[in-house]
Amino acid sequence: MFIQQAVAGIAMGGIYGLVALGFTLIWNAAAVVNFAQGEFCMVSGFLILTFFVQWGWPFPVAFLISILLSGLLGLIVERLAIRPIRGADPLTAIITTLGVSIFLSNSAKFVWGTHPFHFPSVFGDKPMQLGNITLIPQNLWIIGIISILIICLYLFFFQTITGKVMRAVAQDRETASLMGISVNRMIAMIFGLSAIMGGLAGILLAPIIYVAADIGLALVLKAFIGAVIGGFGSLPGALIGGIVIGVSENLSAFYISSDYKDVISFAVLIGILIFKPAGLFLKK
Amino acid sequence: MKKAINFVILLLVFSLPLWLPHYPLHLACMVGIFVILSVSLNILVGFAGQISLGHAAFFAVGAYTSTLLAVKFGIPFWLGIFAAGFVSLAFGILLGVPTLRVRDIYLSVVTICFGLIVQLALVNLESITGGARGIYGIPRPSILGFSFSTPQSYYYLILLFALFSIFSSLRILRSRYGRAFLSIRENELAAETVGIRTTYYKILAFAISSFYAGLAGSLYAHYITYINPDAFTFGTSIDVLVMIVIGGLGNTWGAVIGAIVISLLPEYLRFMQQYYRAVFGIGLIFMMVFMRTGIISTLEKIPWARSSATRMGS
Amino acid sequence: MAYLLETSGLTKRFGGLTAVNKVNLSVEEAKISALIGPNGSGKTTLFNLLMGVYPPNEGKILFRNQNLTGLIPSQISRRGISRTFQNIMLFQRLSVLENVMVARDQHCRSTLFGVLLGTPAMAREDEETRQRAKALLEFVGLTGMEDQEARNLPYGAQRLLEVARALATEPQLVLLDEPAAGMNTSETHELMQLIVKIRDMGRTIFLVEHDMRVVMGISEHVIVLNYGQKIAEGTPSEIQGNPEVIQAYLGRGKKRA
Repeated sequence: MFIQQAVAGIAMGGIYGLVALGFTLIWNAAAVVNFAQGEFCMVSGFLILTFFVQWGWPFPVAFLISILLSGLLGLIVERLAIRPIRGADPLTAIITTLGVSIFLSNSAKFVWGTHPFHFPSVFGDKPMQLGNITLIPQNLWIIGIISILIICLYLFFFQTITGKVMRAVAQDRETASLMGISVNRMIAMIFGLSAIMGGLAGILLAPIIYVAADIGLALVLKAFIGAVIGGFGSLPGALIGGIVIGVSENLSAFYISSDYKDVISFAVLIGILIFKPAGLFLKK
Repeated sequence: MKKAINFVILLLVFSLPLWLPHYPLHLACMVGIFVILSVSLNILVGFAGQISLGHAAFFAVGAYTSTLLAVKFGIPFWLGIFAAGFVSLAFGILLGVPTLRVRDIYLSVVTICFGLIVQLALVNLESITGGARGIYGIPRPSILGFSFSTPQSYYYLILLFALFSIFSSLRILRSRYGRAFLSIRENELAAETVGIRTTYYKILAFAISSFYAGLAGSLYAHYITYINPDAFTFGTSIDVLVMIVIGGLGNTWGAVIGAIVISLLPEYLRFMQQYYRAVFGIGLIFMMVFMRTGIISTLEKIPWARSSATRMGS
Repeated sequence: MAYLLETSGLTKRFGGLTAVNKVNLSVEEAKISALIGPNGSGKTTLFNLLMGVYPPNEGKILFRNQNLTGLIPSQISRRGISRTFQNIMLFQRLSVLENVMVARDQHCRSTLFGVLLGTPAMAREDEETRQRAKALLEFVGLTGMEDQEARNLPYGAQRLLEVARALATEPQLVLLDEPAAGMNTSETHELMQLIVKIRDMGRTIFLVEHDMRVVMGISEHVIVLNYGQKIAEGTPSEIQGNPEVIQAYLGRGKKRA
């Protein structure tokens, strides 16, 4: 049972890690805490719900279109809300992204309604036996997909020119612009990429819990906690931190109390920041 | 001229219950409560520069403290409200002490989590708080036989506390405390270097702001006579933060104006009921892009609207 | 000789870099001492240690025979040390007067209740704070701009304001971190006169400077750092002729003419 919960935790954690990755990318590049990151997940969840469940499109098509539209949303958000406030003080950035979050979640409410939607499990939610361990295929698929994504991201950031340019912008915006890099375009692309990652997370999340307009806040908070655990600003740290949160959340929900699992995650964050204000691992 | 305007405004404010119809008077009462909330948050965020997104937690603690004392122990309102203030103050210190070394973004997220924890506790500790159903039958306060059972009379009660909070805020700002808070906001290291005990002042800022929020909570509970966790959400915290930013961060009267605007906005925008909150989100973005420094400093640019209230230090 | 300030074995490491390396120095009371050295020699780090910005890894700081090691800046300020910053760290949106008034806080006794009640005692103390702040502004030569926001001041005036603020705490030792940086010749000259004036009031000055006019012109004792270590100390003329000092500066760029 423990293994099953742990694997489920890793899958969930992978999703949190994905959200945290997107969130960290934006932080590194634009020095903005994107409170709307969770909404990217929420929107793609609703999109694929509409395309696949309500309109009956084939899953791969619905998947692709949802992801692309999420990326587009990211680009729009960056252009309209983030770029105009570039360089502003933390409070301004916080209120702005909160504004985006409020807009998106409430828009979702009047387009799709306030009640949660169940999303059918595409990857199989019936437990299967592996020796004397019971596993759910869905979780394995999630872990698999995310692993592939991580490899793709790694290749992108380290082997392609665009990826390297993005890393340059994330490390030092001023110098990058002095080198002739179009910082505006790169940041826009980073937002698009983050939104795509959020979109993917939302699609993977949909069958596990549900699709609803208000899941964004809890997601982004947990992504933040994960990012802090792994060392705020570190990409691998964000992923690892997300997994840690997923696992501990699942295990504490199962072994301690399901009502308080959120409280436990939040309390963990507060505890970490109090004792190690720079996060658990001293990364840049 | 300025004095004449001030006098007219004062007259209006004091005479509202005499001529305002029932529903708008109710709104005025709610505005008054939010004035206390925004002025109190302004002390923490605007003066001391500590980004706090969990103010609803202190509002809630005050409301529930006063409610439980009245409903379960029969403690009269006048004791209950001050108990509410002090219990909230304790919670404020509870948040302020551990977060002394936490800054900016991290602090904002910690305060969000704090607010959510309090709300979750309110929902889950059913035996104490009545859970999601809340608590009914909170008595209206009475003094020497006179009961504040009408909105008209309650309005004056709220007005009293609102004026008290505004007055305190203005006094604090003009004193060594205000200067100390502002110096921490501007440059914490420099403040430390000139001898400002930043630890003490930061905790004090949390304490003062949560005390007043607790008072507001008590006033709210005894006015509506019914509370449940839905009144104390993250959305509430955001609303209060927006109130102080829209008016002009750091400015007491700005907080008042912001409270009035944000409280009344949903009423004026009744026709877009469903869409209101989404439009609110857009409004936030718009405000940050175009009017970041708030209403009052935008007014500063209009000569005739300038007053002593607009000056930074007042 | 009365040593107001003494450090022994003071060491500060940042990761693999030892910024301050077993520094033993002493500063005499009522004199102007200077700390010089090439860029990166650890001068500002040393000042930060003295001011308690971070604790040393090793070593001790003694001030008036009290051990200040490990105290935080506000405590050190209250023991009688004050400091200006290399990068101006004024309270930008506060007025010039308010910047100085803030620094008087440790000498104030008003309580929160006094403030809320508006007691005469509080009003008197506030007025006294205001007057003292004004007097300090006059002392450094900044009059007529009390109500302007600090960020609107010209650069030279901002530096003077930093000095006024540092004096407001009534320190015995004033640490000046590159007070002449960015100043033109006449501003520098006025600053030098001001520093001497402060010394003549009985205060002790310890300054970091690159501008050799200031160092040679008004300091009575010079301490030289290089790579975090003290390599020489003495009177200005002794230092000028010291071959090790010259070696340290050689090839690091000219001294300012």
